[in-house]
Amino acid sequence: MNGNSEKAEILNELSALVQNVRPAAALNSGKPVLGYFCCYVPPELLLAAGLYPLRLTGLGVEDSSSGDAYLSHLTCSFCRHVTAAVLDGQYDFLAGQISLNTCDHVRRAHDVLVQKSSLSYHGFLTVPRSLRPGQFYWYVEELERLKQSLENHFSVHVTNDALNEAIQQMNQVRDRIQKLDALRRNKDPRLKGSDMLTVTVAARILPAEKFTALADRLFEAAKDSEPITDIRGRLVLTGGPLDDPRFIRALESQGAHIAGDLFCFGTRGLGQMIEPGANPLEAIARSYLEQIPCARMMGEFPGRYQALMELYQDCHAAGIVFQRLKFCQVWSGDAHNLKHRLQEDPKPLLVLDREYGTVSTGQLKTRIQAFLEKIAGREQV
Amino acid sequence: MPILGKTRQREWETVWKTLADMKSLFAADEEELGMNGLLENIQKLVIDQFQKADAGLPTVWHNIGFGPPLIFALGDDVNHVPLAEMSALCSILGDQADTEALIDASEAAGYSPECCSADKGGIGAVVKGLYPDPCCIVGINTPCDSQVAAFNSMAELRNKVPCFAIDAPAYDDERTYQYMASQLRELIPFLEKHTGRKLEWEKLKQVCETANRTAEYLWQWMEYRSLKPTMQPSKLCAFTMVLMITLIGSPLGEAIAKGLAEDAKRKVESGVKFFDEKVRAIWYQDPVWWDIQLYDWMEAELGLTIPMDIFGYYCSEGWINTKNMDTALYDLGKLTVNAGPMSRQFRLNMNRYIDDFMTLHKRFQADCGIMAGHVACKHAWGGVGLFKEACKKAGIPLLLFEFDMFDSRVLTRKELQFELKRFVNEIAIPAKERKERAKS
Repeated sequence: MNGNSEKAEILNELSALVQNVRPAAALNSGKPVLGYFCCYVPPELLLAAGLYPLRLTGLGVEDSSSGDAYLSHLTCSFCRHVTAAVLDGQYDFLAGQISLNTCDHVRRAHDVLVQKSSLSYHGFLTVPRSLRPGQFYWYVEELERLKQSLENHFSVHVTNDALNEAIQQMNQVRDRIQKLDALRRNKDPRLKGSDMLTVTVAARILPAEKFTALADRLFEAAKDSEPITDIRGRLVLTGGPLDDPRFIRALESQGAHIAGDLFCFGTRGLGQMIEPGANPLEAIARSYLEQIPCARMMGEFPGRYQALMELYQDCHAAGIVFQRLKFCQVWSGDAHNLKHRLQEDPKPLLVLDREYGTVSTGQLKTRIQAFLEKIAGREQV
Repeated sequence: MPILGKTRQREWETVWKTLADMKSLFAADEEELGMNGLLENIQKLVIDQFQKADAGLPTVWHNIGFGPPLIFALGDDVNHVPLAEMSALCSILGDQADTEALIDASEAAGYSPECCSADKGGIGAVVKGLYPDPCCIVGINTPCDSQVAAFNSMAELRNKVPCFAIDAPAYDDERTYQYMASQLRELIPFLEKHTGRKLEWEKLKQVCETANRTAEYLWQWMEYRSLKPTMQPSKLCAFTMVLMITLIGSPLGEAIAKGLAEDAKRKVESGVKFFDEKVRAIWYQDPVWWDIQLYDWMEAELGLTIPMDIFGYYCSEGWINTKNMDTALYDLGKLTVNAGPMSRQFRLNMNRYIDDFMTLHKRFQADCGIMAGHVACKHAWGGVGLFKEACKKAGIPLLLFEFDMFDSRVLTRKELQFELKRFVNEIAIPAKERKERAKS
């Protein structure tokens, strides 16, 4: 089997996994599966408690009506889909869920899940919105409280050794993500942006060992595969949560290559290795709180902008695509800030609003075509 | 119309002229202590802000979840601007078209149409240069994400200006209050550094005592408003929010609260009815700022009164212990998260929101509820299913509609009147009558 066909086979396998809210790996794990919202929940803590951490998505959920009934049509469609999936029983294998004060939408989805679902465990974290030193210790305490709550509910004991082991498992995942990411950032990329999103979503759904094995196979196959051709423009994709590779495929269908990403479910949050040590919970807390910040954080746009510019340079990009879910206010504020900052430091920018669960392919193709025409010939060397 | 002898931006001059016109209009009515107190002290606030800006005194910008007591405690020569100030002033006292133009200006600059119009108008005011430049910016993540977005955008639009973000947790416990107090303690040297003023305990104590007297007036006011029938106009309810955001801890704020309380007392004691109350509603969510006269229409045409709304309600957590700096900061932290309208109801889970509604419904002897669903309020809309269920369970008729508190283009006056009329005549009054029949 040559690199191209093996790469396609592994990607198909991963793709089938991430298009389903009932991954077989979770169903067959024999461990209590705990769903969680948001990249400020460290799966290391859940792994160390002997649980199966599963990042909640609404992929493959076609009907959000039970979520809509409680959350209204003015709430973000991602939260409505996840809520519907839980209320409609598609997540009936979950032992519980963990929410946090990510945003107003997740907060209210949590309320509905607590009051209306049959889940037996509901964890909640208040993650600080700013990064002064006092905020860090609050977050450490929050993780400690969550740890105690998990220990009490699931009758387990989370040791430092177990936490260090979980850190090492997740570091393996991060290592594979970085290696694969290099293959799509290359001047002659071997992986597409949609491939990488499939990989990064899978990293949040599969057990670490299974993921790393698949990622190793993918790396070997992809590095020997033919480079991706017919690229009309190298872009970086940023903005709010995005877990649907179909969105990127629509961009790619017109010749866009998403050479780098900076969004939730993508590589953001999977880039920073954590050092195991004597106080693993603090190490975890520091890494998660000080990751490239989400727009939920206050006063952190400059840090996020700097990370985006570094990515832009590193990817030799010719433009930026910013996407966000309709009704998401924190990321919409970021779109404004990005536009403002790019007035001083001009770079092509395309801002796209979207709904979860569906890809407006025709409209999207028209927008990206026009953008690619605009940036033609601007690619960085 | 010049302000303090100088030509100002058109939007400010329009506010100034309307303020003067309304003041002279209401001054003719000696009974209108509440409205007169409001207008008088808002005018003083505007004068104070322009005097300070003209003198080049330091200005602190903040978003609406952060009350100004610590800024007042820096002395009388520090200016402060709540971001949403121009949204409110243009809608209530100026030209509604100006608020909508500010909203459009922010959207044209890339700010999201889905954010709160209070903040969109504020960002529009920043884009149009309607506020004096800040020496620093203070923000808090409550009551909502729109505040977070607004703070981040203020910070970007003035990206050389130092910022301080206060993090309000989603809990109601001792740990939360201590955490809030510790952040306010951190904020003091930040404010001192960037305003060049020293915060003295004696001054803070004085500010807190003023805030306490204000709270006492508001509690008296609420007592009078809870009596049946409501004697004071419904439209005065929501102005407590203006007070909380801009003036809590200042003599102007105290004067407004005193005016409201005395007005309510006098109206109750006189027994003179200005409208025939047929049905009482708790107006839960945002007022119709773009047409405050709508409340007069509700009273006159429908007999619908609003004894209290979510913005007017001032809970007991508003009290500040002035024994020392530590107690004061602790209670200011508690006040910030638990007494601020919306911050109080939305910071926790929906139970607080629903419980507060039930408390208001009982205490203010309401017959029904009106959830004026401000389209940008993701907390309220996200919790609407649970809220509707709770009202249904309690047998409380509930009107629910989508509108925008500062933008009349989302739901027009006519549409709103239609909704209110239908609800009052076809649902609320019949439900009240059924209840009364069942009792007798």
